[in-house]
Order: sequence, then structure tokens, then C-alpha cells
Amino acid sequence: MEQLKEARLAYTAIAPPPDLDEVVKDAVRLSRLRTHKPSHHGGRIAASIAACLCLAFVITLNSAPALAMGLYDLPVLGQVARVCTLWRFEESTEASYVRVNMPALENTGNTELEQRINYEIAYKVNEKLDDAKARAKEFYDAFLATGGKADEFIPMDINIDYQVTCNDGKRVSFVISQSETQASFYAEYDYYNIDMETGRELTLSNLLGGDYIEKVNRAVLAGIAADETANPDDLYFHDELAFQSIEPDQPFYINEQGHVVVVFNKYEIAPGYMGVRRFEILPE
Amino acid sequence: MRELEIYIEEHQDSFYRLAYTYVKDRDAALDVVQNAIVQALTHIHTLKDAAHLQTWFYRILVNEGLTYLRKNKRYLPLEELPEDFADDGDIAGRLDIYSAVGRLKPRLRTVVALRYFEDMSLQDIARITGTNLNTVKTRLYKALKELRLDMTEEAVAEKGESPTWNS
Repeated sequence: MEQLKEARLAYTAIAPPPDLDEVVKDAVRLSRLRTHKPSHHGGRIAASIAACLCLAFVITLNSAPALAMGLYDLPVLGQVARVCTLWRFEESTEASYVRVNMPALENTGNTELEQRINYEIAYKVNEKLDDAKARAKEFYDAFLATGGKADEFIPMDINIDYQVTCNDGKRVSFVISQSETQASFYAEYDYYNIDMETGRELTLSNLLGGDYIEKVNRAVLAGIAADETANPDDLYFHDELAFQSIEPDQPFYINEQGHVVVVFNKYEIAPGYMGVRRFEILPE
Repeated sequence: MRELEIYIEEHQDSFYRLAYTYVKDRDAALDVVQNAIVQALTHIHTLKDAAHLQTWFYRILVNEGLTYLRKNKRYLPLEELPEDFADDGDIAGRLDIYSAVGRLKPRLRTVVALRYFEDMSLQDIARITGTNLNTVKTRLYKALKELRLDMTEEAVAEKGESPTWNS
């Protein structure tokens, strides 16, 4: 038994990494956001709608017990517009390990909008997936061609997922992320902001008014200054590379508070180590 | 829901260690923990009795660990030592048996880790693994035999809530 006691000491000596805390918090946040996570692969739409409704029910129950009691009286659970996992897909080959959580918009009461957005999402996701897989295959072939052994190749991790950042019944905002990890990590993000009353995609001008460029620029400049003061390691580009103005179609999303958050890709306004930069635009 | 979140926050280190014992990789262990939490929080309504929160959660965690091993069989066994072992005492000796535990078949590993590392009762392990008491005992004997540890009946048998260490 002495040996097992020793092994136990080795076990308790496993030091959880500092990011465990963040991972756990993320998981909790993700669970609150995630409307549906089917356990099977390639589930059909009908099944996923049913599951979404169930989960919507659970979430409502938890957030408002009083309301939950009233729900028993309702014949239907109601039209809760939401972003749902349309299908989930995993595939493992010698070159890549692919995980996809494909989102879709549902129950908006606007079929034309749903079809258009969902078609666009499906098209983009498939295109990105094919590109990423082709790149992985290229790496793999190059690895073999230069004398690498097949069983020593670490497959490229390709991950497509989404996150809903805001859904207040009138607007839904979500981001689709596509990442490739091998030796390094590479990611791309697509932002969707939809006005469910008009069925249109929201623009910064819709949300912030005609002078949105000036408004956002002021907020970004203030944000850069605040970051650099608060943390000496935070560094943005200065001189000729410095931030001057957002583009008219600068990517953005809407956060839980309903505020616009503009996004700058890695390298756009700061060195690579700063990663993606986000600035919340508070009402002035 | 809130109760489960608090339980998770308080025990996250244990979850990580157990996950690590399965997957032997820092990032993979973090993934397993994350998946288990998401699974648990989105299926909390399936937990009938709050008293079984711990065994219910470990069941999900163990399943996530096993699922990961099944899916990643092809490129798993790097069998590396954890990078962040605290440096005290005779590490070599400890790691010997610890890594031997890591080489056990996942089913046997589960039983050993839960019993001797996480101090769980055989009854709880049966609940977590979805088996009965006898199966748990059989697996434990088998595991200890594979580890070439001389086991007495008492060492395996239930003695209160925590295992006995006298050989």
C-alpha cells in the first residue's frame, strides 16, 4: 500500500495550470449561452428544434422561477428566436482533426430571413472547412515528402464553433469562429448582427447613428489610451501604423448589455501578441 | 444550477487531476474538464437527487475522459510526465507507480484513481461507473494485481469513507 500512497502524492502534486480557472469560467458561461448541444452527430433540423425548445424551457425555469410556474398553463412554449446548433460534426483523418458546431437561426418568425442567413452560414462554414482541410492535407503531404513519418504527424486541429453574444428578443448577435491549431494558432471570426423585427442585418450606422465613425473612433482612441495606462505591457501601434479610423464595415457584435463592441483583428492596430482587440462603445 | 456551479468552482482542481490522469496532456485535460462542465450544466435537469451531485458529476467527467481516449487513440500515448510536478522528495519512486496507474486500461484506471486518489467509497465508484459493488471490487483487485501490489482483502474492502493505507 505504501506504493499507492506514493502514487497518490504524485497525483496530488499535479498542479492545475493557471488557465484552469478561466476554462471553468468559460464553461459555465458557455453553458448559459449554449442553447443546444446534441450528443449525436449530424442531427436533423427537426430534432434540434425540439431539443432547443426543451432547453429554452430549462433556461427560463432557472432564470425566473415565478414565470416557470405560469408556463404550465401555456399550451405552447412560444416562439423563442434563437441561435441553435444545427448539426455537430467530428472527423479525424491522418491530416486533421475536425470539430464543427454549425449554428443556425431559428424561430424568428421570418422564414425568408432564416433561410438567407442559414444558407450563408452553411456556405461559409463549408468553404472554410474545405480550405482548412486542404491546408492540413498539404502540410501532411509536405511532412511526408520531407522524410517525416506518418505516425509522428500531429493532425491539424480545425475547430468551427459559435457564440451568441446577445439575444434580447429583438436583436440577435453571434460570432462564428474558425480556428486552426498545429504549431501555431490561427483563427478567423465572422460576426452576425440581425434585427429580427425587420429581418435585416444591423450596421453600425443603424445602431450608433450617422456619425458612427467619429463616435467609434473617439471610443477606440480613449480605449487604447486607457489600456496603455492600465497595463504597461499593452502596446498598440504608434506613428505611421497607429490607429486612425475604423472602416465603414468594421466588424462588431452586440454584447449582453446591448452595447456595440467593435473588433480589430490581430495585427490590425497592435502587435500580434496583443491578439484580437475589442472596444465596447458606451452610449455617450 | 447555482449549487452545481459552486460545487464545480470548489472542486475544479480535483477534476483537472482526474482528467489529467486519463489524458496525460495539459490542454486535453482542460478540454475534458470544460466539456464535462458544459455537459453537466446543460443536463442538470436530469439529476434527480441533489445528494448525488458529486457522483453524478464524476460520472460525466469520467465519461468525458473515456470518450476523449477513445476518439484520440491514434495520437495519444506520448506518456509524458506532467510538466508541473511539485519538486519534493523522491519523485522517481512516486512517478513509477503513478505512471503505472496511467498505463492501466481506462476502466481499471478509473477505479484506482477514484478509490485511492480521490478517496471515494466503493459504493460511490459503483454509482459513477454505472456498475455494481462486485464489479468495482473485481476491477480493483485486477488493477492492483496488474500493478503488482500485494493486496489484502482489507485494503480493498470498505473501511469508513476513506481508504486505509496500512499494508
